[in-house]
Amino acid sequence: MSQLRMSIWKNRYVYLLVLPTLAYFVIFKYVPIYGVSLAFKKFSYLKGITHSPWVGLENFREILVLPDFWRSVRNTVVLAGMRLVIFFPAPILLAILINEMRFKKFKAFTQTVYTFPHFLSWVVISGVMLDLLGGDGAVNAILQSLGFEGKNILVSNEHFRFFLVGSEVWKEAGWSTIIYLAALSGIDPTQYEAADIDGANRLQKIQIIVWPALIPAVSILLILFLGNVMNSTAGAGTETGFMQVLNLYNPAVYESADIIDTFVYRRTFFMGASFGTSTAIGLFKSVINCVLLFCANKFARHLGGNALI
Amino acid sequence: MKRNWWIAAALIVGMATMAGANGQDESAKGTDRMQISIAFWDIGSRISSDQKDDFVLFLEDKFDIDIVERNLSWGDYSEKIRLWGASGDLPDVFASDMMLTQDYFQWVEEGLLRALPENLDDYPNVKAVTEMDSVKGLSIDGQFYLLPRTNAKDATYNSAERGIVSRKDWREALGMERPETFEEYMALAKAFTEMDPDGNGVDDTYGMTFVNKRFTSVALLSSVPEAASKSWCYENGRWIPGYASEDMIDGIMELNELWNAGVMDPDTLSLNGNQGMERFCQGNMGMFFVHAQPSRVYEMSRMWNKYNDNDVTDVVEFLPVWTNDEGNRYAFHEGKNFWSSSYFPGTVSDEKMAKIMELYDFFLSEEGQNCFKYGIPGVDWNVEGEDIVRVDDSDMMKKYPSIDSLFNLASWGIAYTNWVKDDFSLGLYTEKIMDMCYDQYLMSTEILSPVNMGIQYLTTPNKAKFERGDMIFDSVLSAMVSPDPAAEWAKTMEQLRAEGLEEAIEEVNAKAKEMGL
Repeated sequence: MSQLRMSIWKNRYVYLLVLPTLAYFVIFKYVPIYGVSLAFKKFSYLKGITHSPWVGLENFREILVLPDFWRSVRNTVVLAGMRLVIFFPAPILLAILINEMRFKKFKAFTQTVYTFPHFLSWVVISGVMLDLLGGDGAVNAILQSLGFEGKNILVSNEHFRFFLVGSEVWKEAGWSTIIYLAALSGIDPTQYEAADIDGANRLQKIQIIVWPALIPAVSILLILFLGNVMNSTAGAGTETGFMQVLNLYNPAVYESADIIDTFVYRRTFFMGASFGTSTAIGLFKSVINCVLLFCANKFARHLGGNALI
Repeated sequence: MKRNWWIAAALIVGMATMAGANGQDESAKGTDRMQISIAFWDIGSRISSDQKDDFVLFLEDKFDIDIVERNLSWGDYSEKIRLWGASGDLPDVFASDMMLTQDYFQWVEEGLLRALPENLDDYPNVKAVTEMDSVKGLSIDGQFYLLPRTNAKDATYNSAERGIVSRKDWREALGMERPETFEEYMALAKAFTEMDPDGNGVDDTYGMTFVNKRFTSVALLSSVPEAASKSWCYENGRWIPGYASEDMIDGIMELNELWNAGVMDPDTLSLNGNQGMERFCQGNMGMFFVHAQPSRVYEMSRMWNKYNDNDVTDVVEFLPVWTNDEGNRYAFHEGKNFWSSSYFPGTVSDEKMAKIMELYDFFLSEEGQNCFKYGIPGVDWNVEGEDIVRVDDSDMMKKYPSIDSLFNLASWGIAYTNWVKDDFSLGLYTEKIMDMCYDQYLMSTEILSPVNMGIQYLTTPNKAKFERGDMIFDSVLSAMVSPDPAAEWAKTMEQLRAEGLEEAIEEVNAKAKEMGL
């Protein structure tokens, strides 16, 4: 025990550095967990979360019979699947492409151009998208002037999910390459030299040197991605999902794009639903997220890759 | 290393001292005066606690108070108020349209809202509001937990909340008559879309747009006036919410027909706030569904001037909503001359409430109204005999930005001026705009949408859950653009039934029977 105390004292400045982060997690992530109890309570504004009366599973019973709730679950899962297939590989490919560039200045320029959209908010992007892709937008105007039939994809249930994933790739793929590029920068240049001597072409170098270097990052990010699937979030560092859908969707595409988060938001703040039922939906989502996280972790471990836990 | 510790400690102590000093400044400001926090739409851009305009200072001196603004934005006010309520941080006065919602009843029951003083004799103007026909029924056990923000002399003027502005110059250029029926409206909209009404040789026009997507509800006035007016209707021997009527599908099919014909603004579903006004003023839309009030037409005329050289009143006309199968034409009518109210939290003391009532009574008085119109008495205007003599006749809302919010706090003062032709309103708008809107008011109110205020104000445990306000129109829009509108609307009804609509209807009808309504 005294050895531990000694060790802590010895490394006190390191612990001091960790303290703000620790405080952040405790205050903003762990303390609010007590609010989850609301899922089993009837919220009273007067009594607050702690003293509101318990109602058992009443809130869950209330939401599970709603067709719109199941529609939002379906949309969340489908969109997550589409993100996994379309969005997740995009930054990996982009990172490989950028890594292959030989002109350093052009490489830096390309990386900046691809990263820039990340810093635009979804509010700004929704305005731009409406002007470009709306029924009366620039793209339709060009199509019509060329004799093609215009298509309003912003009100089309058939196309809207692809539009969501596509706009997310445009906005976030560049930003998400950062981690992969960092992994690639760690590759020992002598490996490339050795491959050159052995007569490997570019594709072979990607297959033998680049891809193995990316695998640890890919597996960790895949676990994080799956752990966030129900939040409709593309991955670490990106703030999509709720904000994206909220700013881009409209009543015509609720059928294909109303995810759990937007459903909760509308019910809670515009239809006056109780905080209890909204928390119940949130808890439902978190439990599924948690199960998926453990499954993904186990899967990664099974494959012999890196695991988080 | 020790030295570093001392520097860090000194910095922390320094910052804490500065923060403390700031805190002292803040508290010192309000020690001698009662602080009244007011939450109102956009008040943050008109009143600043750090730099108050002279009008706010005049009010503070007159009532010995310290006014603190708490901003509400049009986009998130309901969220903000709910969060304030949950965190026990409600301002002393706040504006909202939460009347008759689940939150309203829960907040009354739990004491989050306080009642107006039982004896309002000292505040005759406030008392007069509570005695209005459309307000009386709102008391709960004889107490009022809200003070409606009236917007016109009587409820019929509320019809001006919905109107259709149309391009008269285009109609005349195309040689078409003023439309009456749905078919005639469709024909006019098609002509606006397809026959190049602006004569620029480019296919760039549409039949109609809306100030925002929820104004598509105006099109329901013909089929289900009660749904468009957000009230309950009597159908098949029982009271039901207007949107639950069997006739809803007729209105939705008309909207669907307009949408499929391509005469509607293709971006209708993305229109929020006031976005449609800009689109109409850019000159590509034939009809424009918007409020039919002078203030709104004036706003439109100002925006129109950004894009056009002519006067908007020379090229547009008001059209009524199309007639239904029986030839009747209904106007929007909620049976009340207000849609929002002032609320006061339960934490407000009797002493503070008395002060707030004093302030409200002044705002509603003739003297108060004159202050809003003409500025600070003795500075901007004087009374000579029975006349008001203005010392400064500039626009007081520009001189004192706070007036724009405070004028509307106790009543929608600007809305009142829509209908009273005096120097002030004529100075704000123009006689032409005022006449145009008044003619539209007379034309549109021939048959008001039926409404039973007894049913509207009746309360049962589940009724409030189905007071959906404008949110129900999102489902109407989903059905409007669906390939199968009837099936899509049936899904909405299924959702509502799953939430307990039938139970609520049964409760309302049982109570209505009991009350003889």
